Amino acid sequence: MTEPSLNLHWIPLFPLLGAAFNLLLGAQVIRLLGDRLGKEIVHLVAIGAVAFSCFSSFSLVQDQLIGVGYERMVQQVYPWIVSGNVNIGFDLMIDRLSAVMCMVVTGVGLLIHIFSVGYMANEPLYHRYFAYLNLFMAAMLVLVLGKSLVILFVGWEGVGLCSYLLIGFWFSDEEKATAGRKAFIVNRIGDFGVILGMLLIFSVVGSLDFDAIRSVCSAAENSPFVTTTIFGVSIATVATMCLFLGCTGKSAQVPLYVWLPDAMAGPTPVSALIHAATMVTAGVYLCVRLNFLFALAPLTMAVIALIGALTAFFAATIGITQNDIKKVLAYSTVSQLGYMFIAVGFGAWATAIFHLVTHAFFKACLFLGSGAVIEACHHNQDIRTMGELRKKMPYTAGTFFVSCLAISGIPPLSGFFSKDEILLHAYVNYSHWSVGLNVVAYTLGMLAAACTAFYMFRLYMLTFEGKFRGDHHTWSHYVREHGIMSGPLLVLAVLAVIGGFLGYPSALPALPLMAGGEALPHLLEHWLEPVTAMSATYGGIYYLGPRAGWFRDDHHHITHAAEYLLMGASVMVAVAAIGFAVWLYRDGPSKQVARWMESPVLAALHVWSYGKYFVDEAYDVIVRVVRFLAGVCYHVADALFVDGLGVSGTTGLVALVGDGFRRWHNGNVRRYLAVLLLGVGVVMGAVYFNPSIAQFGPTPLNSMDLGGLRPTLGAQRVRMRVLGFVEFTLGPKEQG
Amino acid sequence: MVPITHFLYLAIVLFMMGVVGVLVRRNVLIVLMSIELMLNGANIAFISFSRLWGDLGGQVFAMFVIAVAAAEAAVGLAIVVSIFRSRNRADIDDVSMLRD
Repeated sequence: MTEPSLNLHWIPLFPLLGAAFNLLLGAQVIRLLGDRLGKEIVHLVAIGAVAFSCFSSFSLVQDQLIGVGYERMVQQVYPWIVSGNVNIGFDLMIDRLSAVMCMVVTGVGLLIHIFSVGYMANEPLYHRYFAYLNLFMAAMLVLVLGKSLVILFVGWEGVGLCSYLLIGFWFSDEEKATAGRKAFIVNRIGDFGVILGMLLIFSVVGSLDFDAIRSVCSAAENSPFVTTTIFGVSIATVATMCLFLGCTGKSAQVPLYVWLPDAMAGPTPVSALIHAATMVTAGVYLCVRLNFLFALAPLTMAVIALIGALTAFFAATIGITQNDIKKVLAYSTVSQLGYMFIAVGFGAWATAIFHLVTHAFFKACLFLGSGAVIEACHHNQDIRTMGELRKKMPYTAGTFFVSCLAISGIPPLSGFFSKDEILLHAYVNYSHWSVGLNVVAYTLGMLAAACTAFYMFRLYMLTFEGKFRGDHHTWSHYVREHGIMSGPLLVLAVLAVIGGFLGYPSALPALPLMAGGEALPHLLEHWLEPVTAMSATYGGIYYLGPRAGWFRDDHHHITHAAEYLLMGASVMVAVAAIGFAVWLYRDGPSKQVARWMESPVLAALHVWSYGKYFVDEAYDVIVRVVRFLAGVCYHVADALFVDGLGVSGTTGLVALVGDGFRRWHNGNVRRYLAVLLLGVGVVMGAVYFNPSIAQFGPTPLNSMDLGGLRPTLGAQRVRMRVLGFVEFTLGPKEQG
Repeated sequence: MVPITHFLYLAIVLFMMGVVGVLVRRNVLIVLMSIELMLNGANIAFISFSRLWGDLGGQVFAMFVIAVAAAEAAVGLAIVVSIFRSRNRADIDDVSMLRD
């Protein structure tokens, strides 16, 4: 299919321009026009930029991808790196996968921008906040629109930078600034893996363009990715492992997830946008984008599935005991990202994107709801001191409740469909290659689902139900809900309800509202077929990877009855967990729980979960070693050699020489002249004793062809004596 | 005809008188005059060689030197006058403030 060219660059460029405006002029605008009008202009520019991106993404998809039926569109913005055989252009591309990501990013981003107007209203650095938010949108859009790994990496680093800037937005608080640095450094470890993976891919393909990689991968088992090995392991495996290391950093998987809970130090809308809906899903996007490569590396796929399952489970168990409203949601995010990687690991690419989309809806809604709660409670985040807030903020409570149901997997809300599809894939994807992996993944996934339902309703009950447990002042002076914050919440809640119909399972009966009684197709899976088609064609030992349409074919049949059974099981688990949580926390913190804590086993479990398994403390040992090494390097290499010998040494030497020469400059003109004469004497003496040094240059003047000009000085030899003893000569040497 | 060496000896004698004058005298006025002496020694050397080789370049140089000497005398005397006004004497060893 032809690839029409289009002005794709406007999609990321507009947020970038918005960021530039607010960074360069925002402060002046607020100063000149006053707080009220100035802030109005600042956020109108920011929201307008994102709205434009959102509008152009949607209209592009509607007109071109759906309307005309193009598979994708490419724009070569400009040749960026041209050096020898390397030719990397700043090429953008929108295909069906990018389109989904673009619409989610700009759509959710727009709602969160609007919410921020309310949440950040009293922020003195208002313009900077919106500038960073716009900059993030630009970077994220570059990430999803990039046509090569290099462009993707530009966006990847860009969103990392914005994440750092926004986590540490209130940088005067040392703890928050540290959280920002932690996020940045942990992400750098992952990015190192991405760079290594890119280099490995480049060594095979000679290009980092997705099309080039795809065409090399098309040979499946015979492609150089599989036939070339490093230490007996195929390059596909090593490269995808490296890339997945980057994903564990960016998408907060074990073992690099530790930064995400700390990232909650940033403003809450930022947590919703960056650390729940968009940036942290970049790793999932990368895997799905390179699905043809990952599918060639069954070992990596198994590792991804395992890591995803472990992350989903462990983060969920930590979430059970946290008391900070945002920390619960943060661990929930880590856990849900784990689900997405389970799907990736089993080659269910469309399912991973499906969960990414639904998660973006309900998790953004939950985070924004928590933001509204935090705002109402005067920036108190401890759910032990909340309760009964439903009476004060009905919209927030309602949307929060709906999103809790969605994330817990209650049909027919979005989370049910996407999570169940992942568990279904985990259940049926057995292979000879990795026996038992699907059992492990399915079990951990189910346990995590139970934990999710439990902690979400623990959170809901403690926050919105029961009796208020805070001080009287907060209760009577709470910040009222207002439209600019409730509006986005309502939209997101609606999306969280209906989002699941993007991937309506074929096993379920046709919806009554469908014309002709046909089953609603799995829209997203059909939509993404061109993207995942290639990995689906791989055969041979690649059981784990190529999954599109696999589990419905006749050889690996799963009957509709079995599918119903699985759905029923997960709904039962969710309902039971919800019921348990509601029963335990119906009147605030439970006495029953306190009684259980008397049992040493449960108390110990609680300590481990509450202490986040002490992973941070364990990492701290490594950090200490690294810091010690860095200290040694600083004191030896920097302080001693560079600063000491290099910089101070040079200046010291110059100063020493200067001190010596300064004694000569005593201001006595007569001594200057005496020294001058001495110098002249020395020069003349040298010329006298060794006349050859007076002839500089290769050709004596008189032997040059002067073109008819009569040579004057030096044409004759003049010999004379000065004061009777100094004899000197002028002119050329006598010949012979 | 007077050989060129005579002219050159005269130039050297004038120049050395100037040098010695600058070196040993401390009165600024005498120093200035000694400098003029050195310049004129150089002028005589220029003109002698100009004569010797029949080249007017040397004489042009001498004219330049005279012009520069006039300018130098004007500036130098102005400095001398201002030094004398400020400290009532014109001893070159006192004028070393630019050292630092």
